[in-house]
Amino acid sequence: MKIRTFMILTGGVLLILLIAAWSVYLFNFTAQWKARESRNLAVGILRDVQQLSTLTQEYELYGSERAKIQWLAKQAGLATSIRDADFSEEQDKAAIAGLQAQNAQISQDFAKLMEIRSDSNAGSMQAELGDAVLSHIMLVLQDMTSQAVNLSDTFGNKVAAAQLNTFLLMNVSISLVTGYLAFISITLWRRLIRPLNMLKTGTDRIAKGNLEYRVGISTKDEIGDLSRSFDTMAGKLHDSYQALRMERDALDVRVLERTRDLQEREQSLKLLTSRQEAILAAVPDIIAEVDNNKTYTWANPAAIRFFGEHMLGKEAASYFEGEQDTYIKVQPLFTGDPNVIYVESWQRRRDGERRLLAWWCRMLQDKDGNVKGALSSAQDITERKLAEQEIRRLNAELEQRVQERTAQLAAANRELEAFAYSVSHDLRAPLRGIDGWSLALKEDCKDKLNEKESEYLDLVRSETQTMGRLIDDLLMFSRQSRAEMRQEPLDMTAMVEAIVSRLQRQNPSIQAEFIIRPGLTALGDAGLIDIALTNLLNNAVKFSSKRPGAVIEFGRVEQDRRKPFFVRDNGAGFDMAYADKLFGVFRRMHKSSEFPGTGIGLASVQRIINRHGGRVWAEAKLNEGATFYFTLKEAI
Amino acid sequence: MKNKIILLVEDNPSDVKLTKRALEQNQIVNKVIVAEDGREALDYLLGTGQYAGRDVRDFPAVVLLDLKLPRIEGLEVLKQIRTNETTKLIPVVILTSSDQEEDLIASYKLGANSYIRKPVDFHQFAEAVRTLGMYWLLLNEPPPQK
Repeated sequence: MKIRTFMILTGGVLLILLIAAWSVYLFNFTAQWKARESRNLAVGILRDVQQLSTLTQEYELYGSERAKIQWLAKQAGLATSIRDADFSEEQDKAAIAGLQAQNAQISQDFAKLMEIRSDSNAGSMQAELGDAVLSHIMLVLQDMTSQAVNLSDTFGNKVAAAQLNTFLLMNVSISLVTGYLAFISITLWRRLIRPLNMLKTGTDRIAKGNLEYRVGISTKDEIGDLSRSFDTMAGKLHDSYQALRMERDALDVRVLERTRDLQEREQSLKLLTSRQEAILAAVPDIIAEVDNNKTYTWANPAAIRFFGEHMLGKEAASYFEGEQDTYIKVQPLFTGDPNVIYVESWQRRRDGERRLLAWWCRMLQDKDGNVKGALSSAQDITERKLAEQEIRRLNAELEQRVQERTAQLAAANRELEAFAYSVSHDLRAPLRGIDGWSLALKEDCKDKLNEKESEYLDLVRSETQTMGRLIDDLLMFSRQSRAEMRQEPLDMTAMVEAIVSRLQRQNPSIQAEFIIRPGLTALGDAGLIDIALTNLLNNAVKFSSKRPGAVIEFGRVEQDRRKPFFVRDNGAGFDMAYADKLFGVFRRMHKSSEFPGTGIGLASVQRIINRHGGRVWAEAKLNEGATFYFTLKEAI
Repeated sequence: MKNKIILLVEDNPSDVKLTKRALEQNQIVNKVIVAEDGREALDYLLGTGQYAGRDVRDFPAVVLLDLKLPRIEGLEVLKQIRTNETTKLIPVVILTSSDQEEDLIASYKLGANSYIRKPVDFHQFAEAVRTLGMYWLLLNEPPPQK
């Protein structure tokens, strides 16, 4: 049961008890009051009867008018008292009814007596009758007195009984209430004080650190709830404390680790500091520090050696040689620019010598991030600068010379072009004449010439035509050297295939089999490479034309580092002893009667390949064929 | 067509004679006017100088023009023929010893109708002359006369 419910119930019971006790007391008090009233009435009646008795005797003795009036008034008062009496007991009601009747009797008797006594003529008989009436009155009064005394006694007893009842009732009530209060006290102590003490003990224990302690009250009242909450709280406290302790342990471990780290770092910092000092002392570069006023605040030994004195406290500008904008250039450092600024500045040393320093400057900050100056390292670049100037001068001179030479070359080229034009045009014209007129002579004088003379004319024409071919080849050769060259990616396979089909078209009698490797590319001038390849393939066809089963191959040697292309035939070949003469102009390996030619072709090939930055060479064996190799740049 | 003139602009007398011989051998009997330099050729075509008063509307069927000429170069002659209203439609065949690519390109750019390189071998030369005569004198329809 909840304590609150218990309190309400006990309070209610107590209230009912008190109301009951009060009601009984009140009832008792009323009865007592009524008994007291009745007794007073009875006493009043008794007093009135006594007085009537006295007044009767007084009237008899003295016959006074006053006694008669008083008697009549008293008797009327007595009648009223008797009439007003309100008694509940039958016995009392009978007694009062008797009294009422007796009072009426004496009233009649006293009237008779007054009539007798007031008659002055009355005789002795009359006197005797009066005496009898009087004695009757006295007797009745005597009885009435007795009756009144009885009534008075009865009611006196009733009052005493009521008083005793009240006393007993009071005692019982007090005992009951006291007992009940004791019961409540004990119950409350059991259910409230004891558990509270237990809770207080628990609190004290937990406060002293015994987090395992539990109060353990399992009642279903508020204290039980409180105890359970308390125990839950203690449990949580225990858990939190447990977690906290674990964390603290972990923290301890971390602190230990951190401490060890810091010690190691301090150790390495010491090393570093020592290393830094060594570096700053050992570097040949000048290293110096200025504050925000550009006054030197620190310098390494190299700086002091360079300037010939310690620069501490001197402004950087005091060493400047000549007008310079160094301060303007480095100004961003002093407004917080974190970049390294490069500046070259002429300095005058203590010994008076002018030197050019290249400075790399960077701002310095204090630990709050405010700019407190700049640190600069510098190198003496005087010699380098002078050398650079010299190189620049030489370069300019060289450029000048190159331009002059180029101009000369251009002029020579123009002359050569004019020459070639003349050769092309003017040298060929007379040849055409010689040929034409020889033929004219032969045709027109057919009948006059003998066979030998006719043959001579044929020889003249043949030589003339050879001369014409020589001129043509020479022209082409000179044009190859002069032509503009464009480097572009070339499909070498496709080019060779095109040249071969062209050769076959021009000379349908070619028997040779061609083996052309697919997918070969290079970088070069399409026109010039075409001429070179045509020459090489033409040669291969020419020198293998007299051999059955001729095979001409175009490919590339992948094994060789230079990766040369090659054109190979299995024809006449040549003696390697003459290989060095192979690429000279007008150089020929074979007799004209065997293989016709002008001796220009391979010279052209070499010139073209050389212009491309490549090399050309040949390998051959007499009567077994020849292989011509050439290199070109790789196509990108 | 047979009486149409051929204007041969050529300074080398040997070549002139060879050309004429080649024409004759190929039965091309048109009258050949020879101009020995560019000036003379232009005078003939425009009716100026020594040809003052010539009826310029009677223009040749074809002009055989060498490039390397005294006084006015062949290419300049070609240029003037093509810029002049009266002569701009005349067929011009370049007949030269030069096989320079520049000459070839410049000639066609200036409006040459054909470019023939004179070979050393007379047989080949005669063949070339025959072909050009055949084409320009027999097959080609000349521009209308004004």
